[in-house]
Amino acid sequence: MLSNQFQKSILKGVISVWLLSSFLFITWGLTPGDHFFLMLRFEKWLALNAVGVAVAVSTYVFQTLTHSRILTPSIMGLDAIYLLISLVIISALGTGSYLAIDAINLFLINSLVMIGFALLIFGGLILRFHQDMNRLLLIGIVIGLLIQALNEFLGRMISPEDFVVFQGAAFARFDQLDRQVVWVALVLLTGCLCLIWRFHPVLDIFRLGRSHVINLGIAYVPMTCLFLMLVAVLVSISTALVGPILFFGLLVVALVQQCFPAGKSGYHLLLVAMVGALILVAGQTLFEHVLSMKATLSVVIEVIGGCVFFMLLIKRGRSD
Amino acid sequence: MIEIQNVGFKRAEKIILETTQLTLGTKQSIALIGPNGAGKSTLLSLMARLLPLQTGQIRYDNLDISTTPSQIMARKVGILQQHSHFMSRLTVQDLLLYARYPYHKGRPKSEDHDVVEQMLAYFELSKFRTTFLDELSGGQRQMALVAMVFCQGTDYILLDEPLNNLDMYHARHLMTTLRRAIVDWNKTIVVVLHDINYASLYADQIIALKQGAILFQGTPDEVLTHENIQALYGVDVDIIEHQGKRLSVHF
Repeated sequence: MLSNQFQKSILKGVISVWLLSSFLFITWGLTPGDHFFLMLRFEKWLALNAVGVAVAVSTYVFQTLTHSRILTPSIMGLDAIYLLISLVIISALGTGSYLAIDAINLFLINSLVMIGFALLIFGGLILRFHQDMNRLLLIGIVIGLLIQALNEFLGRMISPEDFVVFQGAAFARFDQLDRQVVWVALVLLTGCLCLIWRFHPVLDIFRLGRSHVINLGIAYVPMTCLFLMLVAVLVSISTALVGPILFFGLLVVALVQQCFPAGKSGYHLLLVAMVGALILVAGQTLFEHVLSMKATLSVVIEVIGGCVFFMLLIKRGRSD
Repeated sequence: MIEIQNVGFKRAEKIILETTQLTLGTKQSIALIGPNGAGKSTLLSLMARLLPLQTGQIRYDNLDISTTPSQIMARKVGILQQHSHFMSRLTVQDLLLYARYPYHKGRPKSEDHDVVEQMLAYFELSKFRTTFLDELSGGQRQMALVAMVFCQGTDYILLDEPLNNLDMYHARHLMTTLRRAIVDWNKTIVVVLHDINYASLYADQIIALKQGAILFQGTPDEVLTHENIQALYGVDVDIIEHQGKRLSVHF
């Protein structure tokens, strides 16, 4: 089993590089005994990892459910929903009340609404159009656009002062994380990951297609709903921490699947989680400490991810 | 015994399958024939729980598919559909082991590996054990997919056009293997076929569907007549006898 050993050593390699960049990220330029900055950096490191893992794993699970390598929760507008919720609260209650809501409560409200939305819209779509991937893809992208358009529309309706508050939430910024939410997010993330890990053999069967899932006696509808709920929570975790990132998940999952098409979903899950965390931690170390550039990592990731998305679309068009 | 009672299927007010009654015996091969769009695949999908029952009931040995837990049904009936698109790149062995999911729930035990080995040998796939599906020829791939359904260890097996795109050698190899499996393991196999000569040679019973309704059913000798084929496909054919079997000449 040469390939198995190869897979293992790749995973070990990714973990070692991740450990190295984590060490650099936390300790770079820090004088010993500087506990305040150490704690600050540590929380930021936790958040970066949480975002990387949440985005990568949610994308992988979502693609498995939709049986598509192109759709991601963010392309279908799931994280835009998060902003829509903020916007609705701002326009309904005003900025004062929005800012008065405890960050953790806001996060929990958002997560709940997103679970509902994911079940209603995506659950409905997946169960209805499972035979027609092209239609699902098209509808998904249109829904994503619709939600973004709604966001823009509502953004124009509110006062400029309110809009500034909203903008703070609307752009992915890895240098300014919402630290209050980090610990709650971590607990939720751990819960979600445990559940997904518990059910990863089911994901293997989902990768064979819907008919095999039913044929092999897995309750298709309840399992799809469970996974969708987990995806919704994962997306709300990453969106709450840094804001929407459109193509990052796609980038990580496409990379892993391209390199290891023969991997089982257990291995894929481990690898996408580690690669997701690695890219964010290493990228942030590079940009923050080495290049002294702030807030540009998300731009770079989006550009590369966007190119990968484009390539996948073209490749798919050719192979069909 | 498979009992199909009052089962019909409509899609957007269009009747795909008329209300159907059907009782099928065990330990035999049953061929579903009929022109394209006759409702054969729909009937098979309904029987395999892939489509929800809109009316009526389907029972396998008194297990009702709509009330029996899915994981129990998965040990009773297995299906192979026409098109399989997998997201993962799989070896033949992986594929066969996945079919044991109803027994191992993702953690294969030695008995699951034993069944896979047995099926690999039975379907002459042992040398392709670690070959990826996309590296196999169409015929070998189809054999692997059929072997997968057999690994599921169900009494009833439903195959939707398994001979599609198979050459003469593989088509015959597959049909003779199915025939043997009925004797060796008391399987009951329902298979959708387009070539009525394969149905005549290898099926114990033929059920002909046209426009969502059963046109005729019976043993090949009873139903393969000039008039029946004419009525079913609207094609003028000669029925000849060859080594005691009826064959249709339709070119």
